[in-house]
Amino acid sequence: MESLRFAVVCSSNQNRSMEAHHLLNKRGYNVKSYGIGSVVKLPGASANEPIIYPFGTTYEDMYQDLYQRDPHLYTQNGILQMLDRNRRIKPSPERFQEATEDKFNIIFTVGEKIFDTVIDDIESRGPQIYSPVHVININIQDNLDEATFGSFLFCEMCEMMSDSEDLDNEIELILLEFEAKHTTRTVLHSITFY
Amino acid sequence: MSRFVPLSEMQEDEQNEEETTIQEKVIALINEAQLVNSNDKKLVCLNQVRELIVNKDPSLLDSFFEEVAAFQQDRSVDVRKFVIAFIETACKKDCHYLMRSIQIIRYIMNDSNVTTEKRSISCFIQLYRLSLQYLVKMKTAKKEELDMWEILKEVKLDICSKLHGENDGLRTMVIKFIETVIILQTKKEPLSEPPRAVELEFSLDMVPLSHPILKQSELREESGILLVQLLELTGFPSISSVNLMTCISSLCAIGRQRPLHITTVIQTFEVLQANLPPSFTSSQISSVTKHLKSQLLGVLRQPGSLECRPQIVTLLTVLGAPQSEISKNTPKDVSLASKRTRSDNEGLHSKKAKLDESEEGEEFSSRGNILMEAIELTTADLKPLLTVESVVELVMLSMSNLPRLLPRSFSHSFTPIAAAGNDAQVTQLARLLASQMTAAGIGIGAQTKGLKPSRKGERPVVSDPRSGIREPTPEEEREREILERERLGKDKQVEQDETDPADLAKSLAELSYLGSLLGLPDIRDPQFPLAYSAFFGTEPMEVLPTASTGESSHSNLIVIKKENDDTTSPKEDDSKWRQSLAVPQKLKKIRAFDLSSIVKPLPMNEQERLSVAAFKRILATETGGSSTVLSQARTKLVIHLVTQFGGEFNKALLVFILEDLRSHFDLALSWLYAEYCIEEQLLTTPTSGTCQYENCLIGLMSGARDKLDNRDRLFTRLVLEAPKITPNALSIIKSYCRDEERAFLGITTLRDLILKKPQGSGDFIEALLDITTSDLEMARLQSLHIVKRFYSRPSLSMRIEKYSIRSLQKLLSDHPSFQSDTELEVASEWTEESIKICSGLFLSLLPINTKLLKELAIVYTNTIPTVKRIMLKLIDQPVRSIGMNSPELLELVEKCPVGAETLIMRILYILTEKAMPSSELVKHVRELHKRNSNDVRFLIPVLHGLQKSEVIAALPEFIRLSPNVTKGVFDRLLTSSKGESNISMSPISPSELLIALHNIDCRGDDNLMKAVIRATGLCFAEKGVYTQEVLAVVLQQLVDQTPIPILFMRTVLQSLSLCPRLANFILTILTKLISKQVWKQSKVWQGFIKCCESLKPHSFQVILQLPPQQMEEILKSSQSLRHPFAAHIKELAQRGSVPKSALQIMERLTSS
Repeated sequence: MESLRFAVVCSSNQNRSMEAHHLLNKRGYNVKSYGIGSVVKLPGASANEPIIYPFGTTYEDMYQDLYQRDPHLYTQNGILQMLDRNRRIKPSPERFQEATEDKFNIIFTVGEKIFDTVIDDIESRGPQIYSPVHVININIQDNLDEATFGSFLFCEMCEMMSDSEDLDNEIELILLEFEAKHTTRTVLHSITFY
Repeated sequence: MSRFVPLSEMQEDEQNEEETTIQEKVIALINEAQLVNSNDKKLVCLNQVRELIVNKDPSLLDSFFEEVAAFQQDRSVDVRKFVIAFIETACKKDCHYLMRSIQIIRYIMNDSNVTTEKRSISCFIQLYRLSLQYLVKMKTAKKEELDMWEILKEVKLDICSKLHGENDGLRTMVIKFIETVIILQTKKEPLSEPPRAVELEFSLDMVPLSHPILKQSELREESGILLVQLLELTGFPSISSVNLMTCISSLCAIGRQRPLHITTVIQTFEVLQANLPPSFTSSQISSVTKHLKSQLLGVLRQPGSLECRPQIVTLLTVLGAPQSEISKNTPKDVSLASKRTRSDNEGLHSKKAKLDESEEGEEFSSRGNILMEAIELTTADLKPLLTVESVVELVMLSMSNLPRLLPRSFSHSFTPIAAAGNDAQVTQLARLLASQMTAAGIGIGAQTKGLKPSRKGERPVVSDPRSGIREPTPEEEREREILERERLGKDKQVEQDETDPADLAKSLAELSYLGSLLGLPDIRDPQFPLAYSAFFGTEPMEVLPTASTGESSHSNLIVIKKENDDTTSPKEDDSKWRQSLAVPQKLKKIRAFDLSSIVKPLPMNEQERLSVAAFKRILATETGGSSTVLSQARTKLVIHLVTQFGGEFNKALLVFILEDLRSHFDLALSWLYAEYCIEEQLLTTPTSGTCQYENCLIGLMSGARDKLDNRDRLFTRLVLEAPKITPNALSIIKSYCRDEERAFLGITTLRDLILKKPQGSGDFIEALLDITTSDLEMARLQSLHIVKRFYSRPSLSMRIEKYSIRSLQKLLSDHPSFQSDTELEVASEWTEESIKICSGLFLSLLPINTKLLKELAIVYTNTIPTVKRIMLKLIDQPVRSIGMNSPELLELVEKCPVGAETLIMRILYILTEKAMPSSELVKHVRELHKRNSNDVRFLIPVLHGLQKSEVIAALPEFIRLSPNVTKGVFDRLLTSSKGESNISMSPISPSELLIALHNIDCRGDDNLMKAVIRATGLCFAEKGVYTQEVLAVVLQQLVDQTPIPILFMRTVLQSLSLCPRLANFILTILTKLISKQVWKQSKVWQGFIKCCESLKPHSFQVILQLPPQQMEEILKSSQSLRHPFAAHIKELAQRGSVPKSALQIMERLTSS
């Protein structure tokens, strides 16, 4: 059997999606990660002043840029370490809306807005190959701890899905089982077609 | 597959070097792919082939298409999937491959693998569109194209038939396929959402009315049927959330692209929104609701949705979409569009009329419009009725029908009503009521619209893709009639239902069969129409009386369906299914199909028979392996049914379990526990419950007895794991114990019960104890063994002890009595066996608890002699194991209750039989002897422990006992001196014993004298002990005593007779006696004379030493001595060595 193709989508393809990308990659799953926002945002000196890069800027460039700006601050808030990890995984953040050539079996999202946008985007492309894709959302806050925790949740789900012999038929059971285990997490699920 | 060398191609392309190399590469790769075994390598090769053909040189496609397609038969799923992808690409490049591709797809689709099946459907979706686009260009009908269209129809039908299959993923694809077909086979409208790409464009209006192959009406009809199927699918209570969401997306896509259908779609969503499947979890409900919301917003964005925008907005509000979001998604050009819509609406009927004449298929949307109109009518009818009072009353009435707990779906879909009571809200409420009422087929709208007499004529002609137009089958006719009747009955509920019951039953059977084929939705909640009718004054419709009968009648339906299935052969079934696909199902859509109103309960016994038959079939579905979720669910279901309905179900389950108790053990236990729980609940209420649990347990246990091997521990496991052992169950175990074959199992079961179920151990131990007095020896011994082990447990010891004493005390009665089975048996005589039974337990406990000796003594003293005798025999083993150091035993010995002397004696004998008595024991025996001085017998066993002086002192008593006892005493005193073991030494040596005997003072006591003589006799009899040397020592010592013991000479004479060699020694003794003036003791003197007589002539020398007076006396008294002695003297005289006195005496004697 071909292995399942997973995608993880967050807003900037920096923290939540990359954390999960990192873990799933390490566990040997076929995974890609994306951001859904129009630009890549990183926390700046204050909450009102995010640092903004266009999609396509490499993690390496961001790292060097922030290091120039204030090595202390960006080491303290963990951004440099995060960028360092990210640049080892892939060169730069990718925008989901632009990666229309990549087709997946499962797309994980980390918030309802992202979930809606992903579905809207896929549907706006119109049906081409009539291949179903499951979009699954678990709300995860955008901080380092939650991202780590979330990546384990995704990983667990990946494991359950990869174990399934007929995912399309069993996905409902898998999600029920997952929810029974993590009762505090609400899982949103939808299906759409490429 | 043979190797492929396309020679002609090579010749043609000779001039093109590069192309040739590509071609060669392709050939090499295909050949390699055919040969390699690894799927991965094969895929790598094939992907390279595709890459080369598609991207480098599409002209090669023609040469190699068949070669690649031949891999369709490959065993690997991935390779087959590659083939699908390949032909998909090929068809997109060149539609000449369509025909061949469709054939391949048809082949692969019949594959048993779900993955390839799904992939083929997704491919076919595209091929179907391409085919239509291709076929529509045909100006004339060639055979090839006609054939292609036939195959296309066949595959299409095949895919549609999978809509009610088992696999969710597959169904998802089928839904997507149906969506595509509907969109392709309906007409494009001005307000349709444009397709994403021009090349994807195809719609019904592109088909010319006179097309040689494609028939517009046929295609339209088919799309209509499929749409109804899709709409109905949303109402399936068992639909999965994934399928429901796919369905919603598909319907919305249809709505967006074909605005004509929006109303029908929205109508369906209104019903769906209020009736989400009850099995959904909260997250599934929120997923579906969210999905529906976002899809509806997508529809709302389309200008084509203008016509029913209010409904969409209402629905969105109900779904919880904020107003801001709604207005954001509403197109700006409302005024313009709405104007146009209104004019459209005005012209609707005239347009309809026109359409009805020319285009029959328009009827589907008009059907939707009729439904909408019905709802509108009912809404208008209801709205003025919804005053505050009536709404309150309606709420109160419905109150009783509400579930006790808030359903999950409610809390998720509920949004507080912002402006309650305003006009818009009342309208919305009226709409909601109206849509549900219309769905249920009641209300003014349904009555006026649904009862149009022209309905029959409206019925569309059914299209079967293979047979073309056909007439409805008689079955379909009948079904329609039934539906008609049902509707009439419902609409005119005031009238009596004139249908006769037999007819009804028949209809029911048919309906359920057809219903199952058509995937008829489950009966919806009948409560709402009831509440409505009660309020609005119409007669309430017939509702099934109670939940339980409802359930059973439901299961009856299943039964009927199944039985019908059984009678239909698969092929026939299949064809029926295909027909049913084509049945115009819109009839059902208009009024909800309410079985309850036309159904009458089956007769009780029939219900029972059918339900039991169904139950048996559930049982027979066993698949093996208890871990699967499925079989767990099955177990739950079975147990639930049995506990709820009991009766025949019980029997059926019991029989089933007992068929193979081992593999159905878990089921048996689940059943037991379920019954137990129910019984426990009943016990808390004062009403006495049935003893269902006990019946179940007894049934299983007796079944186990009949079916299992006599030693099968499964019985024990059953008993142990049962939550409670009832008295009757215990008696089954007891009966096991009484059965020789099963006693072992019964007893070990009891043992385990006592060990593992402490709460009920009282009864169990009592049962086990009863076995210790069983007349079955094997069982008795085994139970004794176990009880002995339990005796060490403090919680049980008291009980065991009491029981043992009680049974020992049975010995006190004159006749033995036994509890055998139920009656008390009285035997006439005590036998060894019966005594053994009564005392067995007690005696086995004795060594463990020596305090019980007291009880033993008490019972012993009071029993009859026969019992006593046997008891003495039985105590051997226990006493031996107690040993002589037990304080209780010593105490008993010392106290020796009156009447227990024989017992004590026996105990002492047993103890000392093989061991030296301990000093403690001797001390206690001595005490006893002192108190009870007349009985020297107590001393006998402990002789070896006594002092020499004590033995000598007691000697007169010993020899006075009966000869046998005395002999025993002497044996003890003499034999042990040989030393069986080194410790056991007699306190007195044989010579000392004989001397002591001689020294017994027996003057004036002839009896004693006789006893002494007898005792010395016993000594002499021990020739091994009293040897010549021993006797010599004895004689030597005795002769030194003064006075000489009376019996001395007797001993001398006996010694002489025993050992003639002692003669010389005895002569010296005699000489010594002379010096001791032996003649002064008359008895000894007589003995002396006798001795001289027996020792003549050697004794003459001794006689000569006697003083003259005594010499004369001796010769006078003994004639036998006289003459030999005279001759001896003469002889001596000749030698001149005779004393004078002797000569004188001789002369005197001879002269006289």
